[in-house]
Amino acid sequence: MLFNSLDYILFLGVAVAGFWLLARHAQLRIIFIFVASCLFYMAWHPAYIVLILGSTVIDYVVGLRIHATEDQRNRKRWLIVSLVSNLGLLGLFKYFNFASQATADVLALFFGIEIPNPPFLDVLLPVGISFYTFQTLSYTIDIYRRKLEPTRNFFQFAFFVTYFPQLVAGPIVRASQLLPQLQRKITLRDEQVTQGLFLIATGMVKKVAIADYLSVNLVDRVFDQPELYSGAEVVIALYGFTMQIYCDFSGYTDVARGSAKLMGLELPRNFDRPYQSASPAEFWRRWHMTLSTWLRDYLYFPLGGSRAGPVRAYWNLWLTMFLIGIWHGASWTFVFYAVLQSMAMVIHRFFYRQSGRSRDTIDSWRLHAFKVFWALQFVVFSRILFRATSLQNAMDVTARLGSGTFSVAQISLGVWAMLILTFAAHYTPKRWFESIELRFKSMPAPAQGIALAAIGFVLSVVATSEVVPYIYFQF
Amino acid sequence: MLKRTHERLTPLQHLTTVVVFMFAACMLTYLIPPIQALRPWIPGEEDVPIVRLFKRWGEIPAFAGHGGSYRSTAGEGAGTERLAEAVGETVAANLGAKPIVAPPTGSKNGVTIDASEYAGISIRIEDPSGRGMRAFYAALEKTARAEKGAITRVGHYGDSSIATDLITSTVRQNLQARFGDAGHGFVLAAKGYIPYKHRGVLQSSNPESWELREVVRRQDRDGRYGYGGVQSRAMRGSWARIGTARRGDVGKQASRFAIYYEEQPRGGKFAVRIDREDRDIVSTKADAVGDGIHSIEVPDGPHSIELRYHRGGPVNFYGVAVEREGPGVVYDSLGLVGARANRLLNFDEAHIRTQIEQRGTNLIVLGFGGNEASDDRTEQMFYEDYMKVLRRMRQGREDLACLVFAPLDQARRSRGRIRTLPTIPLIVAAQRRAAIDSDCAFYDTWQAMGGENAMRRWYKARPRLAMGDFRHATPAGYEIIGNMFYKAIVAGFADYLSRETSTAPASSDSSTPSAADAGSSGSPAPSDGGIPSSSAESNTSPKR
Repeated sequence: MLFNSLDYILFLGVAVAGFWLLARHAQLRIIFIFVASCLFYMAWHPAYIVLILGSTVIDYVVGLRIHATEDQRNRKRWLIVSLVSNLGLLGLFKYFNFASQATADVLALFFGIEIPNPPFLDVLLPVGISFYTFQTLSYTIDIYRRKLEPTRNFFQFAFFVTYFPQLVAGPIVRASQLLPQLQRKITLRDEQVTQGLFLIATGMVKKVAIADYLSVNLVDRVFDQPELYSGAEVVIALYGFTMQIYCDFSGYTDVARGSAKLMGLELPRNFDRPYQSASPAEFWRRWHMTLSTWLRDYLYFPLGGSRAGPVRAYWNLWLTMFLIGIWHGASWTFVFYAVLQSMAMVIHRFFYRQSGRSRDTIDSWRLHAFKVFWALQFVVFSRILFRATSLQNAMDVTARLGSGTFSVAQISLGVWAMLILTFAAHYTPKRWFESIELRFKSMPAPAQGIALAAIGFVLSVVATSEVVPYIYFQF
Repeated sequence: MLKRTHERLTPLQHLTTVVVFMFAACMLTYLIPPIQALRPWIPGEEDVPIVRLFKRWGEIPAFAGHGGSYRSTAGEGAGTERLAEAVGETVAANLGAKPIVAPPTGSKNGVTIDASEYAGISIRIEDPSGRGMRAFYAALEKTARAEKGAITRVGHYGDSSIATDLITSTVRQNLQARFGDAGHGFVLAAKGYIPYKHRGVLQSSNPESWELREVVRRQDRDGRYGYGGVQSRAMRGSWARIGTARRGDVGKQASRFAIYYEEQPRGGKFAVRIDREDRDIVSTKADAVGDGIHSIEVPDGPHSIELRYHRGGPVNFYGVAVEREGPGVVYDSLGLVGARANRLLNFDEAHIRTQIEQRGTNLIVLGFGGNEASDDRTEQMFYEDYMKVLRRMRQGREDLACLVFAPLDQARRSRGRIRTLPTIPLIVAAQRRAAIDSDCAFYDTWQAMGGENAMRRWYKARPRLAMGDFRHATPAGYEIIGNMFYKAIVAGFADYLSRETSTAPASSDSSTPSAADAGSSGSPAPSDGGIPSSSAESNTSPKR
């Protein structure tokens, strides 16, 4: 079930209504949302509910076991059970086929050993596995670190793991963020209602009116057959993809956060106008923030972070960024994407340290604009590897970039308008956007209802095709 | 007052009020006819929201399979089954079809086609008179018998779906794997800035130094665009390089380059380099405007040819044919982005006839209709256009087979559903009628895809077979069409062989009577050395 569909709107209406109708029965409403979340998940592929429920049971038991013992070796053993089961499932479903093919590729390339049919698992990648795996791991690791008390209420834990707004594409919510909210009396504030509705509307507009439009009218065409487009058109398609993926993913997060707000729950922010970043490091602090901070807290800091020796610090940074890159997908394109991003971070850190600047140093607006411009170019052009369906496709796109052809005849007026408007909007002051939200907030409830229906009508008219899936679902 | 009421509402009352008014606004779309188009759901539609999700259990999620080659999610087993559920078994069976292995050839004992070679198709080539494809199959029979130097040539014109060289490269590879690789075929000398792609051949040039005249845009008043429909005009500093492919199963060798150019009284000279070594200086000067060929033989192997403007007056190229000695098949991909069939009427009649004769083409395929789908025209108007185009391209030649290749399904989103454009059935019907009335064959690509609303099913299939513009297929989709068309050709060839065997018992001879007739009639004799062709060997080499 996709957020950008009538099905989801109806489903959300029933879920929210049920949630508040059961307000006097705390346990029952948690079970109600858990069952709804399972149905939501099963709408894609019913069999894979077994995986997520299995993972839930394992981590629930592991959490209790770790907490129950003071013996450090026992605690570690139980943590390993959690790590192996979660990362094992992720590895099996997401990385096994790639690892198998990559091994065959490397053996053929460097040793001349041909493996004609490397082992291949004919399985689908379970939806959201990369997200819920990290969520459940945060639970057991935090208990192991004694930062979190395990919940004895299985359904509370199951609610945390399967909560439908963030189940398939984040934000990656940690147990310490959601469980305490469930353990308190859940109330709904008026500002949550308006913010929630506004976020859902914003997310829908971003996805349906912007991301899908750019995808269908520009990006997919160019990446499917780059040879039919000039170098200039390929550049425009890369900018188009940069905006498409932002609107797609942040649109999803907006709907997720908005949906949770209608149930009186808060999910963390995942984006902060990432293309305003002045460096690769800042970009990753503003893009998919819950993934970056997760890896920072559960990998980078435990490895020693920047306080380790200079070489080790660079290695820690490189490894963390590499894993962020490879988290996105199992293919050579993502390997190279990960290497590119991690090297950019290491180089940036090196020059930053050499310059002797501190975090408090403020650039002149010209220098800042210059940095933002070049950081954006890096993001835009590294996206070739992110979007390409294969290394060959990435090379074909890159070859067109260097073709020295400048025609833009195949870019429609609508695409031009969409790109100019969306990039301009991205660089406007935040308060402009906030003032729109305030205006919505100040509207009477009936007017808000009619405004939302009007937005729905407009989206149904401008929607380019049937419901287009979110890009991050594949991860 | 509303605002005051708003301030008194509890958050839950607020939320309920919003939902009620939203719901009421949606209900209005069911009550007020002028805004009925905005109804979120239409009663009677087979897909009931929410319920529809649970009807589709087991369907492959729409986003699965991204991140790698489409082959990784297709192929054997569950992938094919999932695809078959979406687009039907026949279509699914043609993705990544099994490698074609040529049976032992070279004997004079006749050619046999096993039924398994064309299993998995539901649509075959329609050729009620038998005259549409006869000349082609006669040539193909010689090639299949592995007669020395027997080359069968196909020229496939079309719109953007052909210009990608995905359908045509699939057919080319299959035919060459089955009957022999006689080279990549015809490519434009220089592609300038136009979207043009050929697979299995390397091409580069300095695009800013070339001026292109396209038949699609009617940029040349004389209508002399050359066989490929694009004339490449060289100027000082122009260069273009064409070479054999470095990878792949076919196209890695060449033994002959034929340069097609315009002769004219003020013609200049161009230099030819082979494998980066100077070879010839060729003058394009002639008493009258005409079409010239300069042919260069090389030892069979990987090679490249480079054309450079030398000096003098204008030098206008039509293209370069990259070939081998044969026996084998050459499949020229002649797609023109944005083309409608009637743009071929911009060809000068005598010029295109000469070009097709010089090229030695045995079968001409016309694959248009994709762009016409947007035109507001009647079936009769489409029919009249196709009749004129078929006359212009075939010009009554019995030795030139011809086939009309129907367009892919074309669709648009209407009320949230992807539906076939109403013009598509009209175009297909007009093409079929025109083909039959012109003694040409017809291949119904539209029905082969699945007919009405095929584009919707192809778009929703995983791997995705159609692009989001609902006009073009993805590489996987084009591969399926290419495989189906190849099999339809082979199936027709099998029918031809069985017909010929039953009508000519002595056909164990090197050629059937009809083949010999078809092969020799109307072919002009060669006028220049360097190309071993003769009227008796109509399917061997390009003619001058």
